[in-house]
Amino acid sequence: MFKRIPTFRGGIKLPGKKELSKNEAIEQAPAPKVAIIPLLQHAGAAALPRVAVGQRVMRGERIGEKCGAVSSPVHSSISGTVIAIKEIALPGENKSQAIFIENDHQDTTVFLDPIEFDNAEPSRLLGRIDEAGIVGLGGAAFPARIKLTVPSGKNVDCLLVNGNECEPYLTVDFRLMVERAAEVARGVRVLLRVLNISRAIVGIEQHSRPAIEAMKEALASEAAISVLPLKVKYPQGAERMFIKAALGRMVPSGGLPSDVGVIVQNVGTALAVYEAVCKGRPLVDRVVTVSGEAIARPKNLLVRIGTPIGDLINACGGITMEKATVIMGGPMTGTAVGSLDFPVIKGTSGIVVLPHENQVIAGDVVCIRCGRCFNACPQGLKPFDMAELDGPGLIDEAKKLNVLDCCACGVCSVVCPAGRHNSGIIRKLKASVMKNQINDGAP
Amino acid sequence: MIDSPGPYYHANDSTPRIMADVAIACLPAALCGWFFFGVSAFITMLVCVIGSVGFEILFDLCLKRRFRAGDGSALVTGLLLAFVLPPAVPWYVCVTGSFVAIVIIKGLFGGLGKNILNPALAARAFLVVLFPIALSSYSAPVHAFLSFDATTAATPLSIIKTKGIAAFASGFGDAGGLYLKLLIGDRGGCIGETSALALVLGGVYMMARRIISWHTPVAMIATAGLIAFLTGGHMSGVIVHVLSGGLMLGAFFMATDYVTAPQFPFGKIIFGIGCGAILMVIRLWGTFPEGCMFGILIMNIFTPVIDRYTVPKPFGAVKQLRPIRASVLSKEPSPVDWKVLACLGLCPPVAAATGLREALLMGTGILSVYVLTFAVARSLRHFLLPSFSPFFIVAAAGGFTAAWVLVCRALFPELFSSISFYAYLMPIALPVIYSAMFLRRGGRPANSFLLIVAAMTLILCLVGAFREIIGSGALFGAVVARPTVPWVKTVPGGLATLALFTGVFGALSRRRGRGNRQHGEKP
Repeated sequence: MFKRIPTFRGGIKLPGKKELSKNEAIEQAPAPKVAIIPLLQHAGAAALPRVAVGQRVMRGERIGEKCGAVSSPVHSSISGTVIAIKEIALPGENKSQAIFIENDHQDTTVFLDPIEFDNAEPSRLLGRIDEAGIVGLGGAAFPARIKLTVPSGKNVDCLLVNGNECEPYLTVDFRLMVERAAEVARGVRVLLRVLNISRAIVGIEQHSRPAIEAMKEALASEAAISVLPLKVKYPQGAERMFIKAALGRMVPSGGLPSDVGVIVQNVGTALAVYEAVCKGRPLVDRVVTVSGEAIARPKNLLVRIGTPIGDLINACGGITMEKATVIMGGPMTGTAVGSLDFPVIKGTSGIVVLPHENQVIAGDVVCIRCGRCFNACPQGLKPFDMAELDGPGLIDEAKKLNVLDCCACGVCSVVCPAGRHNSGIIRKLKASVMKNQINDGAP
Repeated sequence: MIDSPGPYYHANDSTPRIMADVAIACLPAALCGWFFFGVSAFITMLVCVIGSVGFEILFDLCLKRRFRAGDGSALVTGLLLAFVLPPAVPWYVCVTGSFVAIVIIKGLFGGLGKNILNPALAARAFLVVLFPIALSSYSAPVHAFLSFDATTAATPLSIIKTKGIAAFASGFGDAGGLYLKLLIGDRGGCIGETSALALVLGGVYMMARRIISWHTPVAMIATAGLIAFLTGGHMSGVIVHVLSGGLMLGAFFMATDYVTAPQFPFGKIIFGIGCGAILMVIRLWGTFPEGCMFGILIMNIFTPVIDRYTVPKPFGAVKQLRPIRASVLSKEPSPVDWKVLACLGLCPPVAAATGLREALLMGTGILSVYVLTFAVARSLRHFLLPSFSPFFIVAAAGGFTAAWVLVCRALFPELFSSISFYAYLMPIALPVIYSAMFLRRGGRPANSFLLIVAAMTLILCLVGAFREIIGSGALFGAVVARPTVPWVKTVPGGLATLALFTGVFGALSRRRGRGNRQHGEKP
């Protein structure tokens, strides 16, 4: 009688801007002339190249080998000839070796064999997920195999499928759920088989009515998998906030979701897992939303990994304004890039082109201690204190303020009336604390 | 095109916008001050504002900094300084006050965001020492915007200090006239503090625009009212104290200053309680007639300490990291808490309801109060600010309880007179506050909430029936059982019966619950 839509503390309401692209059916993007496939598209160690310049490769062939435990193989998304292996800069401050492949437009494909997952051993399915190079497609790009391997001593009882897509402009998960709900549902079942549990909850933000309906229909026969509409609030799609809203459980500070018996996977990852297991297809394509007020025709494109983003922008009619900001990712957690040569990688969920004045340049601003950043922080941290830290003892103070729990959602910068770039300052602080921890050898 | 991380969005909030909203909230009080005190009040406000903005520009000029006067904080400081001054102060007092507020208290401490004392109140403290006579000459109300009159008159609080509150009340005629005058501000005092109504309007506007939260004003006014009640014993004393002096102005505009007040909700409540307490102590036992200024200034000094000790626990903060069962980590209250609270809440009505009729009366009262309160809260939840909802729920429950009590008294006078009023309060207060806290945290309590309330009512009626049958052997007059145990009708007997029943119910539900539990869910 008094049901209240589940949500979490803090967060803010953002203009979703989904209407720009939510009704665009997923289109196949044109294949690139030269695919640039970085060997570091995931969290962890970069893959090692296993092809040489001049070698002919096929679509789906493994061109990068795992390097260590926290790593992922890389596959070619086109067929053609390797023309170069050199270092490129990635958005942000990363660099990676990348394999440049010239497309012969033949699309000669070599996929793996399909597996019947209903009775398969979870370890075999995990091996296939690993082989296919599946990483979290929600943006973090963490190797899926590691996430799905529950450490001994921890009990997982529920799988949460993240269909929230709280970032403005992005409609990737929405279109996947509307158009391919049955396959997503099968992907969820594969994941449940891998984890050897039966309960799953698909969380979708309340305003995505068509996606909720489509998933409910696709999961109608599954009693233990439910679809949960969640309150529309940013960052509902952040892992910890999602777990809190869906199950009421709080991941402990410094802990992981498996500490509270949950594994979270993105809807796109579930679909990729289904394709890897049931169709033998490694991760060579992904859906990307190209949207924004400065793009001529926003679209949702099925893109081959390695396509330069300039090609996608052209496929959407080009940039309509003289001065524009091109962001890889969403406007809240993405990075603005200065060149259109960056390739689409496994973690790229969107390309948002905004008019230039959306750029927030923080000048010499002073905190007025209004507390809005604290009220909005979903993790309950104190951004106003963290952004003021200075001098010796900085690292200890930062650790006391739980800076490592910051989920980098950017809400603290959005709500600051003084225009302070809190999230940027805290990001740098976090990096210093982590570097300090590695130097100290702290766990 | 630039290479940098986001976010690439900004909310419409900005410091000038916030200051503009505060200035709008000050408008009703400013207009009332101008109306009640005439041109002298207008001139004081004008000089204070011009002085403050002027000194801020001069200060930035001297330090060769970017002009910050555009952010509006100097304007608001000037206006609030005018609000705490008597209407007929000479212009040089205003200018000195502006200088102290902007240059000394704000500027020399580091500018906006760095001062430790409220600028307007600290400036007033300086002025009380520098110009004692000017700051203690108050004018009588003139009721005209353009009047130049300025006859001196005493403020309500100075009359109360010198002659006592009874003499003050009698000087105004009947109570209704007194309260009305105090409410709309037809009394002597500082420019902005006289009209409680205008200040409350401004405060509600600021709360609606999410500039201030309810914690400090409510805590401060409630504490002052409580102390007035405890020392005076009459509601009239409470009303006079709450509506007189600078309490309303301080509660809504001064104690909620971002920079000098605590950041976290619990800290704000402590701050409000401290301000209210110091204020009343000075009013009742100090030499000054008004203590608002000192109360807030003293609590300003404690703000860093309060901030340090009232930090709310961040998300997921637990001491150990080893895998812990989800039920311990999750913040959903387990059913055990509910039962404890329900039992506690049932004790007074059980003690009071010695028979089935009384029990039925109280039970239906409790049930209807709960249903009405939550129905109202549920239908209004889109209009309620999240931080308002516990306050609103408790207030609504109190209102419905009062209504129920009146209805009972009218319909069942002889039955009602046998039940103490306070027995109604406990079962309503505890679970309502608890569930209000729960709703605020965004959990899902209320699915089982009504069931629990219904269970409480059922237990109450069963206890009442049990006591009537066993205690007097008769139910509704008809004789049922021969050997009677009159002890059951006493208070200890009632509580023992309650313990018996809750034990039985608890055992039954545990047996049933064991079968239904899903893997991983809380027991």
